[in-house]
Amino acid sequence: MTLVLRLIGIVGALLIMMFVLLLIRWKKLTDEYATLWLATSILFLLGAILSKEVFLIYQYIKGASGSGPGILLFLAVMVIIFLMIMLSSKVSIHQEQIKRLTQTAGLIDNKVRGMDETGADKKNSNGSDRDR
Amino acid sequence: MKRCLVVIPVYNESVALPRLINLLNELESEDPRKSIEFLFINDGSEDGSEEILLKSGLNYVSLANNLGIGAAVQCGYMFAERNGYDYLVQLDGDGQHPPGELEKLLVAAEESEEDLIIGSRFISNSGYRPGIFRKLGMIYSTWIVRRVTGETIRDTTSGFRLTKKRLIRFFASEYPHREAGVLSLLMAAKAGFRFREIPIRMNKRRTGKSSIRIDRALFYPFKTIINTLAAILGK
Repeated sequence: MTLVLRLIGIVGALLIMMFVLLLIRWKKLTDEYATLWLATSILFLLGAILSKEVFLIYQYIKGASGSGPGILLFLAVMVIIFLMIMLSSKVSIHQEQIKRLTQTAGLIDNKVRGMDETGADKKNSNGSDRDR
Repeated sequence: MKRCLVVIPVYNESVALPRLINLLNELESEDPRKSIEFLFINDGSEDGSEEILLKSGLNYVSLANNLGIGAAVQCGYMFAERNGYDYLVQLDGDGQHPPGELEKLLVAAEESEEDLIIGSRFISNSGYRPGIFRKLGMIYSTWIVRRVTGETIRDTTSGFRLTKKRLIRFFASEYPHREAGVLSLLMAAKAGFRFREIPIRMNKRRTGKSSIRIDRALFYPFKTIINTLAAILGK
């Protein structure tokens, strides 16, 4: 790997890490996702810094299977698909929770409105009793 | 005396609402036993439907976001369960279901053991003519319901249905988000509930647009298969 490529890799990984840290600071990423993406960005950074070792792993896989890049790409795609399924599952759970919350809020609002009306009716009837 | 809650989900129906409210007010005044109560579920409308409901003085639940018809109807089930209603009738907010047909559902509920009474447009000549995409979807969903439950329901997508107390409790905790007409039948059948159809008359949609369009019709078979699997495999 050339020095330029290595530098590009390090800068890219640092940018991802900075972006993740900014998202954490802006409170737009909760702990569990923050851990996940920080770990991913650290992995990228280590991969860029220790490119020699990564190349050794690549050579090892290539030696074992005869198709190093193919296997590496396959593994990367599998990891990405796994992450996407995990995120979809989280989104679905949150969607269900939002639905339940919205329904409950609607029901509470209905109850409060009913209580307000009953209270207003009572006030009115008390007022008319006093008038008499 | 059995208490019945009529749930009317509403999403951007400000044009159809005043007429429906008038009809319901007439129906309420004609009900001497006061056994029927109405509950609108405003599903995050943005066209002033909520203001119309507020002025009408009728009872309504307002959802902060548009959750979709399934979640809106489920909110009605939750309300019915918490307030101990015996029957829940679902009525469309677009005026397609004539409130006058309610009595037929109530009579059928008193006479039969089934937990769900479906107002069907296809048992007798109700004058209802669905569009081609809706018709294909209906044939397909009838077939799927027959395959899964063994029962032939001709109008699987009818939203005009009466649910009894036991099933109200079930639907309050579990109700499908989408394709609720078909999936709610599959879920109920899987949980051991029984249903039957009775003939009803249905009006033509006067305002707004049907949710069944060519894009939805094309994906309908696939979505229904996935949702059916979810309903069968679900807890």
